[in-house]
Amino acid sequence: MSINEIYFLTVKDFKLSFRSKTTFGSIIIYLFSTIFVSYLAFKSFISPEAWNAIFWIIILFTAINSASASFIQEDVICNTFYKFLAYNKSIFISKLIFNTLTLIIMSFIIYLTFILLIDNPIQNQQLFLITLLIGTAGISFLITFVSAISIKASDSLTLTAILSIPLVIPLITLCIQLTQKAINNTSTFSEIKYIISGILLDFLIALLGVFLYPFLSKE
Amino acid sequence: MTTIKTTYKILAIVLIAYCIIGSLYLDFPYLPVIGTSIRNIFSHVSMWFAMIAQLTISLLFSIRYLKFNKIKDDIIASKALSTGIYFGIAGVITGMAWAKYSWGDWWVNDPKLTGSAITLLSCFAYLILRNNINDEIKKARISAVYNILLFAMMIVLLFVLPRTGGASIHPGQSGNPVIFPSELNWKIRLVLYPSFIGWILLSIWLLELKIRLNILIRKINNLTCAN
Repeated sequence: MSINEIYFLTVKDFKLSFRSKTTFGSIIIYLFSTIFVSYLAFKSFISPEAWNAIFWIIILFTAINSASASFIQEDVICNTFYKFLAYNKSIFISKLIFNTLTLIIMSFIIYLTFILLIDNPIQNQQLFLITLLIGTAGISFLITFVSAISIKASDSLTLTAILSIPLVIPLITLCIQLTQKAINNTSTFSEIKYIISGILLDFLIALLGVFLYPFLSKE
Repeated sequence: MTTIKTTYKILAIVLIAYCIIGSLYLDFPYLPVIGTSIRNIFSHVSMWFAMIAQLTISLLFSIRYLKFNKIKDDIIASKALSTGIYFGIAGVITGMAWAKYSWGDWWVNDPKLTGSAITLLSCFAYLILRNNINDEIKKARISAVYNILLFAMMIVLLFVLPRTGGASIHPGQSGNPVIFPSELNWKIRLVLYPSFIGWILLSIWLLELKIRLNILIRKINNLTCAN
């Protein structure tokens, strides 16, 4: 497992996603259509709790779609070829980094679209930014690992959703609580306990994933 | 070996009979909100301890399967998890009955209740995952990996998150009043600790029966299971 391999594999993933725009574009279309449907439902007035809930639901389902797409899009021959070239852990860590960066970019797109269409109830932007980073990193770590499991199982999107949604609920609960506090304009420093527990939860999920992936991928 | 096998079953029956009789006939102190429904503590908490014991057995045998690759470890792990599901559902039902009496509602928005529901949901997801894979060795390996993830999240959901969430209506937030005897009356502890042991032994008996049944079915279907 070397940094060189991880870097080149991540760059390879980015180049592939820019070359064939179908997967990336389909996720962007999914995102915009869900936000537009929720805008049509709410029109102008929306309570902060509903804003909170819709925001995190859209992030969760976008994450499930994009993370499984990144595993499915290469066929079996390419995957076997990569296993000859690089260590198992490098492949998995590069997928983690790629999915996390993609999801962070998409979460910013979701947030900006939300501000554009529906109003912005967030008062404490700094706390919200930290929550967004912690939440999207944790969700993408978990969904990448679970989609690795479900690819080996039977290659279906519903299995990823079934397996990952119960496990992602503590993280989502934490993010919803922190976002509610950002809406209520509490200071960032007073929520340091929640922030640290969120960071530790992300570390736990990432470490478990990196440690358990070699057991999955040896045939 | 045979005497150990029969002794623990007799011990389980004796302890559970003692706890049922003791919970109904002894005098416990009367506290304002709970009242006489404190007697539910023997069944409710024992169910959860039995579920956690079964999930721990399942985790240990999953790790053992990943290390040594014997199919029997995988059989024990999956049967232990399904036995844990039975006791978890029993714990949820006894908890709901207790909640209706003392808090007024069947289900409240509380981190410990949410954590227990999510743990049961992930156990069901484990069974769905096992159902979707056809190859036996692949099934064992992938479900062992998911079992380790499930156990880690269970620890976070049931023991970490309720304590960080501030004040909660479910007892047991600060410290651990079930295990450390600072808040429980001595009469309750007299019946409670044997009740834990009795229900855990009963769950292990149920697990042994399920494993023996599964191995016999596999022999009928001509699937070998090397010890």
